[in-house]
Amino acid sequence: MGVMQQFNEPNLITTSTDKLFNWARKNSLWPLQFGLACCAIEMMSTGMAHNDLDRFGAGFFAASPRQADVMIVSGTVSTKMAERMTRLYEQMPEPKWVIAMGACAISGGPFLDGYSVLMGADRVIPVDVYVPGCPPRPEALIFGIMTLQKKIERDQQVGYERPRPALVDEDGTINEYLPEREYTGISEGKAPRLEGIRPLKRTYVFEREGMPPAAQTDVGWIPPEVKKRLKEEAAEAEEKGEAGGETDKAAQQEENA
Amino acid sequence: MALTLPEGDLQSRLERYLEGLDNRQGLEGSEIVDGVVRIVAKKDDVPAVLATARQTLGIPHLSFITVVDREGAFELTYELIDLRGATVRVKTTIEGDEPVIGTVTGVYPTANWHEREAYDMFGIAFAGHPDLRRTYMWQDHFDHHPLLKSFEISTKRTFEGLR
Repeated sequence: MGVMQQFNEPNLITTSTDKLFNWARKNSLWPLQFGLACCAIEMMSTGMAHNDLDRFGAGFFAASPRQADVMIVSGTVSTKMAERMTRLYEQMPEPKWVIAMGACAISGGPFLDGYSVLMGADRVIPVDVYVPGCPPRPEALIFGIMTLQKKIERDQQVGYERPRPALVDEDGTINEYLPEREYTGISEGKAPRLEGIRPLKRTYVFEREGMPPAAQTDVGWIPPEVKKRLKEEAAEAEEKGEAGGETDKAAQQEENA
Repeated sequence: MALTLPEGDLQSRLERYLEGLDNRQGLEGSEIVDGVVRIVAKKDDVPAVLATARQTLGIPHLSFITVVDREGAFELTYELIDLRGATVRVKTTIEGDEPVIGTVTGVYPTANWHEREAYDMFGIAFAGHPDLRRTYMWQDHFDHHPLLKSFEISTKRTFEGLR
């Protein structure tokens, strides 16, 4: 804060808490020490002396999610890993941000069609900044971190309406960000582009809105029809098992209704 | 248990392995090609053939198990190496869409994970395996075997419920 140097004696500064907290937060981002694939090598390189992530206050890689502010998803996320990644994300204290680094973390990349690869980290956790590349150069990651800092700067602590999710395409046009439209059926080559939405070069997707609903973060999710079938089977088994428990069952059904 | 490597030069070892395994019943073919003993065995004889290789011939290591989906049949190859340059490949074919074969975990303990992988990717059931869980794919809600020819990529199926 260059302002301080102009003071000759102890003094007061009047500022908003937003500015103060955001200033503190954006200049001490601690990424989670967490690498998934080849992008992690690039991430390490970013942290080393040549590129020196410490210039941005983001050079300390916290070894525990409890101390981390930023999760850099650096690499391919397999569906099995997604569960662990989500757990790590949930263990991080608020406020927390996510950077999706590289093509794989953005969309699945070259492994989009794989049987085990998650098509983008934003399917399970809300992503703030997308850094394209395969892998992105350290400069690109630094740019991503600076972009995140700018985003944090705009953040508000209290009494506000969070900005809506938005997709910014290359012309600067802001589209409504609806991830499910982006992804459904994409690997089968059948995804119909909705009218009026142009194919995107996804450079930045900003503005998350809290956590996605539990159904979206739960990797071990059971499809409704299977759930229904299981329920019916259980009910059948119950019916066969005990004939006298009908009154209890009726009560339960009333409760459910 | 101390490991004792087989004695003799390469050619004599190969011939010893061929001869030793040839005396078993049920071999459908056997030859030496390019320093490799190739054995074709019936599916039910595989554990016995491998037991002979380990206990009588003293081949210490099972290197890998490969599976090929021939659409209607599965081709399994067990590669045994004696750590001195000689290789024995035992090949077998399992007919049918629901393949079952005896485990060789009792003979070569390393077969445990190889067989789990074969089960994971191709759905081959190894009878008598102590712990036949999947190695790579997740246990719940993914009851497919991705390396089968009949498996088709479908985002809807694989990622249903993620978003």
